[in-house]
Amino acid sequence: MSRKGTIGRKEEYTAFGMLVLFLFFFLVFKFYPLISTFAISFLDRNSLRNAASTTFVGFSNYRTVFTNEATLQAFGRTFLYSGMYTLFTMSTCLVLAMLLNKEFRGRTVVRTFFYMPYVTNLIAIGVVWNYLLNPYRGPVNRMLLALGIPEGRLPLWLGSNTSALATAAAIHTWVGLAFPVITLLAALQQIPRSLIEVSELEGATSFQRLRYIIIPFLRPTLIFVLTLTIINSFKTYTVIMALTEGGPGTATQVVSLQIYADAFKYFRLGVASAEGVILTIIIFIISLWVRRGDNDEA
Amino acid sequence: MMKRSHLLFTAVMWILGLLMIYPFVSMVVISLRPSGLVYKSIWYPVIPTLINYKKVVTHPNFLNWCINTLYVVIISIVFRLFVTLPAAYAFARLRFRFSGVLLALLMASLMVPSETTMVSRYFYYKTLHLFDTPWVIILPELSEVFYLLLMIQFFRLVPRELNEAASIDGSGHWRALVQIFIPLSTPAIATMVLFSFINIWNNFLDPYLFISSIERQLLTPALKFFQEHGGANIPVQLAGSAIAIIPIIILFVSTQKYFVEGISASGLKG
Repeated sequence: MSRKGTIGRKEEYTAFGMLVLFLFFFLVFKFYPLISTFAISFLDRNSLRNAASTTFVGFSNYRTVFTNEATLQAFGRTFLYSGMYTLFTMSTCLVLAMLLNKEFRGRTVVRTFFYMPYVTNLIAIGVVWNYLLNPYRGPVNRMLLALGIPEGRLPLWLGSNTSALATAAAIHTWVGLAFPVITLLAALQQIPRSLIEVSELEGATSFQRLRYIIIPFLRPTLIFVLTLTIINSFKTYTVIMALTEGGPGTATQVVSLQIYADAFKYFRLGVASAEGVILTIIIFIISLWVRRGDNDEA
Repeated sequence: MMKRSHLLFTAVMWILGLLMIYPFVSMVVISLRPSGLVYKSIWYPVIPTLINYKKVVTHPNFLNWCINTLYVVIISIVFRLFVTLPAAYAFARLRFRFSGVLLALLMASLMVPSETTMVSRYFYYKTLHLFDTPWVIILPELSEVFYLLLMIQFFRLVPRELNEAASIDGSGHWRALVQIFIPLSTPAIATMVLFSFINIWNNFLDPYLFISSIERQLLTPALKFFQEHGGANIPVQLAGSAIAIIPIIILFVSTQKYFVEGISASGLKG
């Protein structure tokens, strides 16, 4: 078992034997669909039948994506959604983690409450939020009415063109908060107590403590959380299907729903695949760019 | 003075926590009402009724959906353990060429949302004759990289000395995996089983797209059909939702420790 030097043949064989099943399933069920999506994006496919004729059309599908009003708007909405989700999540998760890190009676139970939305079914969440946010009779607006907001100015939440996307992003944030909060809580507990105590002796304000001790210490974790939040912000299909199905009108028609519509409603399968490829490339670029911030410091 | 502010803080945290679960509370409360009283306040006194639950449970396919879901969840978890544990051991302990590149490639795949490949998978699953069978859900679950990373993280914590002791003993890596690593990682494996259960149970997109017969459907997409075809009967929809989330919440509350450990472990290493 030499640490350096050549890698043992036998060890490599064992490694291969242990990896082979996982790699097989990965290649067949994860990698191939990706390659195949890429391939279909260059074909002129317009039928769901397997034997349908396929002609190579070069970048024509990509041209369609970039010139079609509906697809461009879907990409615009996706960015807007992603930006809002990331903003909502990042602005709340550190504060919540710090609050939940403090001692108080019943902390374990309250933490459980915060984690609960994360494990529940998005479709069920869609049902209940549609009920709660019903613009005319739902409990949320009834409460706002009781607080004195005039009937004509009550928000329509998921029911209006202007607020549906933001409302969906907010509900998605509520669902996903547990992951960043738990991750940051774990990181907060790694901060040496002595560091905090010294800062208290030196008379640092809590803002200074946050700025000069906590945030620098949490930086790698914050970047990790940010990366995952951004990646998650693009996984929108189920959330939007559960909340609005793309409506009202096309107000929440994000790219993943556009892919579905192009594929299974309009049978423009090449265009749908091109949208998938573009979205994937965009996510890659953004994640790599965020990650780069990680390497700068290290 | 100190004490008072602490009391206030505790109260605020409890209020925030209760707000977080308010949707679930109202889901249960309203699902126990006749449909005429849905939009009355949550405090409005109503004699609870199970009629909405009865409507869900007596749906001709309800039992099918439950059995299908349990079948898919259990088979996926068992197979996933067989596929993932050895692979995680190889990455955590063995040295082989291209291991770093391979892991990086696997990790990159985490960035691809599954909805981007729905078209190619639709054709592909039809070609493989997986369409409309439980295997269309089970097989793609087996190589989820998230679980591989989780187990690598835990296996790296096992002291190397134990490997050396095992190799002096003359036993190979497979034996080390089965006799040392797996028994030492029961909490990690519990984490993996818990996450798998929750994620597969809640999966909507794949069964929605690739299972077409209503009697072969799983619970989560079936809930969506309930919403679409069940008319506007809100308490029935809420009862269906409650049925779908209550097993998960019970499982989660009773195993929360593993859940938190799992997320913490995946985060600390980044």
